[in-house]
Amino acid sequence: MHKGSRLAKAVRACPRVAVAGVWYRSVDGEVFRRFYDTRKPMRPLSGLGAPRGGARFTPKDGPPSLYVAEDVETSNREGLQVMLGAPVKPPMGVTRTVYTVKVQLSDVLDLREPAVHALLGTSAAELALAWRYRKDGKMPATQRLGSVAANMGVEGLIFQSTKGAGACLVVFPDNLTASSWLEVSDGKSILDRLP
Amino acid sequence: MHMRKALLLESPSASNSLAPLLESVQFEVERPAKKAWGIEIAGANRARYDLVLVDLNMPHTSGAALIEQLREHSDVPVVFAVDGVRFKKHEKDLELLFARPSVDWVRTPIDDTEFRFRINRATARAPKAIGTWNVPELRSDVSGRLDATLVADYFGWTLTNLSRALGRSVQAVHKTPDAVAIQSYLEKLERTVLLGRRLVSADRPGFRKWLNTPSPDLDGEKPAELLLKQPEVVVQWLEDAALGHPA
Repeated sequence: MHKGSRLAKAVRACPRVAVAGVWYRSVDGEVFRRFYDTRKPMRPLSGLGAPRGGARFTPKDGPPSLYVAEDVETSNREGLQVMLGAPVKPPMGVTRTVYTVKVQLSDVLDLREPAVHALLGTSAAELALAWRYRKDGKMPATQRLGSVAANMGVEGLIFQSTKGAGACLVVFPDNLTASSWLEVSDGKSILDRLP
Repeated sequence: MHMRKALLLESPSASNSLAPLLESVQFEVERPAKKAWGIEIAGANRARYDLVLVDLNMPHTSGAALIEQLREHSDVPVVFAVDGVRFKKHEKDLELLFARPSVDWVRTPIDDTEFRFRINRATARAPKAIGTWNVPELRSDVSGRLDATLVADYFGWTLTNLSRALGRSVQAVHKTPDAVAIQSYLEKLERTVLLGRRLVSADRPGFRKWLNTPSPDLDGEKPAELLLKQPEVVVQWLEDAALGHPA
């Protein structure tokens, strides 16, 4: 992955795509119940922004960002990430709830495209490297990219999930333009909407 | 705007000055009569209140007892109002209280700016995916604090390994396994158990299997290895999984 001004120049040169459709998020059942808390409901979009500890394309204490997955299976595998590959089964009583996020974005980078890899000087393998903890202590290339893209006003990034067959999308809500929005509805009422 | 809710347990005169300050930082304030304080404390949780502001010199109970009572069922942030003149007298109590997460204090008479900062800090902590109830089998029956020997046993570690992670001699940890100074680290391990039981394995053997399985998300490290070096990474990993943050 390029660095510094070269990376910024590459991001500027990347083709942008529009994204419209339904994406998914899988949360623990206990988290989902809090969306319906009558006293202090947790909001399914703004309440689940990027964690303070960072995320794949969000540096620690970086910009607000919301991560969703392309399909139900990918969202569930992402939700079960801590136990994938370990010789354990989900404990009894565990529930996961998948909810839909309707997305309308106009300015997104698709990081699955080989042409985009070439422009950014990266590869699918580099984009899938561990970010949460690195033995070399270096800042992950994906977080550098996310930081530059968010600073340049990009609305979101599509990337290949490391847990499921589908893609994931990170949205930078601060960059949403007038025609872009995200919405969570349960069919009866809108639970949350951005902006 | 969503109004946050604060439970104010103070004398009427102090309440009269504190309530407007809380309202100025977007709190709706509940001020129960003194005789109802016990009932309110028993029912105070994050669903009902975003903050509990309470006089350190409560009648019939201590700050430590209040925190013990609250933390059995709730992780609601608590701010103690401490008499500035008698601050020194409470030093020992305060040391114990502030070793606990989501506990803060403000000195009276109140400085408006300091009050605002402290209230904001107490309530701005990241939401936890799953409640923060205690894991009783990791805690001392006597003090109620986390006990290093019980924690080491749960994780399948020797006390020597855990002491090394704590930066203390094994003799010191053995002598006072529930020392206040080590609670902050042990609380991260307790949180790992709480989330791990929900997401990984409800039983101890399954949990230990998971602890000792290397993960690509941790650059090939085992959760157990990382817990001894950077426990917050593992805790955050589990929190993220509960909240569904893609890896």
